[in-house]
Amino acid sequence: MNDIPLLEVKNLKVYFYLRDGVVKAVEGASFKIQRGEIVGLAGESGCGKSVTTQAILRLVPAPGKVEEGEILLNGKNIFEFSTEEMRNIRGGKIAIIFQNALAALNPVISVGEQIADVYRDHKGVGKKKSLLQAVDMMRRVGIKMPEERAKQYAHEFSGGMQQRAVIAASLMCTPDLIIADEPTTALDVTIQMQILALLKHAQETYGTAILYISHDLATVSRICERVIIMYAGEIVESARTSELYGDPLHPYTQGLLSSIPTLEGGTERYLKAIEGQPPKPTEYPTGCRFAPRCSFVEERCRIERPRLLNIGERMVRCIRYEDRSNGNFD
Amino acid sequence: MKKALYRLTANKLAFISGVIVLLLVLSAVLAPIISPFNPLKDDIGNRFLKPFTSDHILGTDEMGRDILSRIIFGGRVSLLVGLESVLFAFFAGSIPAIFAGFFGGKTEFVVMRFVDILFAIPSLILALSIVGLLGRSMVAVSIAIGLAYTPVFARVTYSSVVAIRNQGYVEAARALGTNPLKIIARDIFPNVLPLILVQATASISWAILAEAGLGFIGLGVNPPTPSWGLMLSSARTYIMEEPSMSISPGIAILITVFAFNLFGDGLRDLLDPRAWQAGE
Repeated sequence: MNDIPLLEVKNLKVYFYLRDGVVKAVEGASFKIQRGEIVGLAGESGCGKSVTTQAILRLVPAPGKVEEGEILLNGKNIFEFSTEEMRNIRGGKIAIIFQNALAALNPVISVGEQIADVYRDHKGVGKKKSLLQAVDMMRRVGIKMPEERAKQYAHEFSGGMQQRAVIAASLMCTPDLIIADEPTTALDVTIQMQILALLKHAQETYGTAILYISHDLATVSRICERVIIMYAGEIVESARTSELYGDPLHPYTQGLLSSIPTLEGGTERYLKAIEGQPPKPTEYPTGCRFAPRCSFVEERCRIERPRLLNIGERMVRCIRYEDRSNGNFD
Repeated sequence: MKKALYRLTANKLAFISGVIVLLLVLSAVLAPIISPFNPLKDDIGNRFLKPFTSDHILGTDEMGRDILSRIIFGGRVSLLVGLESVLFAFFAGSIPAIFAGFFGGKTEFVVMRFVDILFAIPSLILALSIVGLLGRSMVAVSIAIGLAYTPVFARVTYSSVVAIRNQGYVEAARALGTNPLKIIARDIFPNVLPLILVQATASISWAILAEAGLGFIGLGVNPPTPSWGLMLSSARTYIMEEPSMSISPGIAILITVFAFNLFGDGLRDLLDPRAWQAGE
C-alpha cells in the first residue's frame, strides 16, 4: 500500500462567524483515509460531519471559514490549489453523494444528460460519447433499461433509482474518493441495503475510497472498515469497526451503542438514552465537551480539554485512557 | 417533436390562444397585403361610416380612414412595442438579476440597489422623460415601457434565482466541479425561465395596454401612424355618437392581451417536465 494516505485531514478548524457569536463547527478534526478504504463518519446532527465534508471540497458556505488546519489529498494541501484546479478535483477526484437524491437532480434536464454532464465537464468529450458512457454507468449501478431511463426526468424515478442515478453521476470520472453524505437516510430499509451493496460494489470494482457519513450506526457498521465518531465538532473516537462495536472506549460511543436496539437480550433490556442535550455550538464547555453528559466525569474533565490519544491503532479523546496511550494525535 | 406537439395540443386553452397569437403576428407581418384599404388615406366623403354598411367592414373614422385597416396596421405597433419592451426588460432586468442572485456579494449589491433606484422613480415620469428625450418613435416608446418593467423583471428573476441557488442540484453541480457559468446556463436559467416567460407574456399584454395608454395621452407613436391607443384617443371625442369607433380597437386590445396571457400560462406548463401529463 502507498505510504501517503489518499486523504489526510490535519487539525481542521472551521468556524462560522455569526452575529451572536462564533460557532466552532469543527474544532481540530484529524483523520486519514487510505486508498480504497471505507471510512464511516458518525455523530448526531450538528456535530460537524457535513461541515467537515464541505471543507474537504473547499465549499464551506459563508459566513463559515476554515480557520486552521490542512487537508492533504495525495499529500498535497488542497488549500493551495487554484480555483480551477479545485474545480477539477470536485467530481474528478472527489465526488459527493447527497442525502436527498431528488433535490440533487435538476428537474428540467433528463437524468442521462445530467450524468453525462459530469463526464463531459471533466474529460472534455462530446455530447454523444458522454451520453453513451452515462447509459453504460446507469446499467452498472443497476438501473434497468438505461437507454430509456436516461431520457426520463428525475421525478419519473423512484427514490432508490434517483439515488442510483446520483451514484452513477459520482462514479462517472472514477474518483479516488466518494463522500456519501447520509445517502440512505431518505430511503426505506430494503432500498438502504441495496444502496449500501452498490457502494460496496463500487469500492471493490473501482478501488474508490468512501467516506460514509451517517448518524445511523447500524448502516455504518454494515459497510465501513473504520469508524470515526464526532461529537460537538470534535473527533472523540476512531477505530476499526469491529473494535469500536466490540469495545467502545469513549463514554459517548458507549452511550451511542447502548441506545441501539438489538434482537438479543429480549424485552428485559431497556434502551439507554444519553442524558442531557448536546451543548450549543456557541457555548461549548471549556474542558471536555462531553463532560456535562458523561457518567464518568471527573474534576479534570471540566477544566482541561482532553487530547486525542493514540491507543494502538485507534484513537480516543478521553483522559481515562491516558495510561494506555502511546502518544497523542493533536 | 411528436411529444412536444402532443403537449402543445393537450392544453386546449393554451393551444387556441397560441393560434390566436400566431394569427395576430401573421396579420401584423402581412398587414400591407391583407388590409383592404390604405390606413393613412383620408376620404372626406366617407366619414363616420357605420360598421357592416359598406366596403369598410368596421366603418371609417373622423377622417374617413378604414378602421379595419388601421387596426391591422396598429397591431404592428402594439406587438412590436410589446415584444421590444419585454426584450428590453429581460436583458436589462432579468440577465443582471440572474448574476446578482447567483453570485451574491458585491454583484448583488450593485445590481439590486440600482433596481431599487429604478423602482423609486415613478414609471409614468420615467416614460415621459424618455419619450421627451428620444422623441415620439416606436423605439422610444418601447424603451420607456421596457425600462418601467426592468425592475419588476429583475426582482422576479432575482427572488427565484435565490431560491434555486440553494437547491440540492446546484450544490451538487458545484460539488461535482461544474463551472459557475455552466451552472447558470444548465441549472439556474432553465429553472427560472418558466417564471420569466410568464412574467414576459403578462408584460407583453401590459405593454400593449401601456402603449395604448401612452398613445391616449399623446405620448405614443407619432400620428398618423395607426396605433390602438391613438385610435382610442381620437375616438373618445365621438364616443356618444359613434361608439363602434372605440369598441373595435378596444376589442382588438382585449383579444391580444387575453391571448398572450393564456399563451404564457400554456408555455410555462410546456417547459416544465413535471407538469407533463402521464401516459404520453
